[in-house]
Amino acid sequence: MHLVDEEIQRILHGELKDEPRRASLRHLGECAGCRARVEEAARAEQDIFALLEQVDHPIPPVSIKNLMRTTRQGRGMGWTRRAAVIALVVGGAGVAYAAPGSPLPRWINSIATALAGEHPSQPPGHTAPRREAVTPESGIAVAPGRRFTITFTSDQPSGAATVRLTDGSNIVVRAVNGGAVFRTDTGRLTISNNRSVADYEIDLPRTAPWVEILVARRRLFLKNGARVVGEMSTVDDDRYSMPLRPAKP
Amino acid sequence: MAEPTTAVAAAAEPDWRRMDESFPDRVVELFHAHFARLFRYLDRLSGDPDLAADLAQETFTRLLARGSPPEVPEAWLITVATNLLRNARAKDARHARLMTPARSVEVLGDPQALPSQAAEFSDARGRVRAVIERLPERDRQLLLLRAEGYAYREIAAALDLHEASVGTLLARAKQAFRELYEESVDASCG
Repeated sequence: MHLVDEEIQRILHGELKDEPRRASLRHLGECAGCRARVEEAARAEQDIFALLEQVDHPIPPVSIKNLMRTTRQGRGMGWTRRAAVIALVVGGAGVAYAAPGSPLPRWINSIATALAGEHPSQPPGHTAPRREAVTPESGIAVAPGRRFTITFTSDQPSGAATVRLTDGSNIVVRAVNGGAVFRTDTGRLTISNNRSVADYEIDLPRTAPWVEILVARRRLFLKNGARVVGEMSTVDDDRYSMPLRPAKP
Repeated sequence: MAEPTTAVAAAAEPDWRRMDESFPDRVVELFHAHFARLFRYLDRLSGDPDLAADLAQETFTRLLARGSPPEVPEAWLITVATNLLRNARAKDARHARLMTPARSVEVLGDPQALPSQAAEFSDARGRVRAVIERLPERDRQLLLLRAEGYAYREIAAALDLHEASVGTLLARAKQAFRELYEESVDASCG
């Protein structure tokens, strides 16, 4: 039985394996006709590939690093713009809320109590203490990358940050019962919490390779791979808590 | 071969947040192994080195956008690159149709050049170019992919063929190329 085209091509291209290959080679050893066909097929292919080379142009000098950088920058700019908008909205809300004489806290309080079916507990014109008021929650989600630093710019008179390890892919930070201004940059999230009394919930992906949390330049938390160290208390296997009060001397 | 069309339709912007940590290194590996091959394949298919360079880069941008390596990366790259070229040609054809109806047929269709057309290319390079364009699309892709050393499994996955028949189809594609080339040589001599 002579070799068919499929076998000849596969012999040329090393696409025959094991027993079919051994059988074909055995046949070639015995059949001059098939040997001639294989040799002719090899020559024909060589000629065709040589002709194809005539239409080639030089390979363009493209660098994958540049390609990745350009793509990443494109993405980064979009993300930065989005982060800027979030920071602007959160910051604007914070300023409007905290501005002396601002009616915003009162309005929010009134709306909240009205929705809850209660009457406002304070007379009109009285500004509720910020901690007790129903305050807007704010938050942000960012990619952890290879290294990520979360910085609280200040200590707080009260409040704590609770870190939770999650199966998610993003770092998510939420301010609870208070506001703060979030700013992101590559590998960094800065939380401007000067005079804030908020609590913070921080979700960290278990897969994030390296994340640190600084409070007023003190590192309170470090996740390096699976290892977690720092000046925090362990709530359970996946949760850690750290007060945002100033360190005792 | 999985997801060829959806891959092309997918957003070109990588979601860096969801990307596997080792994936960028894998993309670098694939780029070094395949960029030149893909460029040459697209260049030979299109005859337009600038377009080929753009599309080869775009293919890797889309791979980054995917966020994880495909099951058969070689086949995925070929499929995406080929689809990008097809889209680019369709776009060109739309423009051409608006201008000259006759030209649009030439760009859009599987080029079936007249024998006299081949004679217009007096040099060998032009002759080879004309032969490539006259080959049926599948033969053209098979031949050019094998010329780049892609394995039968990768070619079969990319072109949606049975792997067991790749060799036979390749033999026919080479035969078709030889006949067209000899025909064009005869035409230019005669």
